Amino acid sequence: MSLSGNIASLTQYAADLRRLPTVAAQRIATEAAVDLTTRLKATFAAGTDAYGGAWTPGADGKRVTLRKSGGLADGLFFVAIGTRIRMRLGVPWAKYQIGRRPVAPKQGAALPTDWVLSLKRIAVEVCKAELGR
Amino acid sequence: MSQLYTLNVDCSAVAPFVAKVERLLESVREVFGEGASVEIGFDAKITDREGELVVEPLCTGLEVTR
Repeated sequence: MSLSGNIASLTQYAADLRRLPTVAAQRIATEAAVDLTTRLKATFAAGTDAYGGAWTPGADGKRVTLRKSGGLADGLFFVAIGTRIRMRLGVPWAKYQIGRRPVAPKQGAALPTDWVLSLKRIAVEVCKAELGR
Repeated sequence: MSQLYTLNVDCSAVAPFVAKVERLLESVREVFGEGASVEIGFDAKITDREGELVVEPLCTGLEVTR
């Protein structure tokens, strides 16, 4: 990725760059929340955790879908609050079900490779957009 | 509505990058003058540390045209 421009205008805009850390973090969080929600939904649909490991089967040994009413799947999403990205659970029973059959990494654990690649792409795009104003 | 997972985006490493870019632009202006055009190549390094997503932009190249 690259930026280009006339040195006179670049010198002028350099003064605005100091606001970049906060603005970029908020934009990255906002765009990452949308992207990670898509990944969350796909993970849930596949019945796996964020690393691709299959969920624990039900008591009868069969694959579990967690799709009885659809409320659990519909209510899962990421939301950006400032520079933070938070996973929200839409229904009261989600904490128990998702606790047993996770769709996101454990808090503090290493991020899945596809998450890292996606977040890197978003970070570069946001930095380029902000630096390129 | 409850929540299970939180990730904080930390762009504090962007500030040193911005300072470098500013110094770079100033040097280019001094050497080549106001009429020069520059192209700065950059990438970003992502590090995740216990719920913190650290974003660190990196300069990968500079091309100056008069």
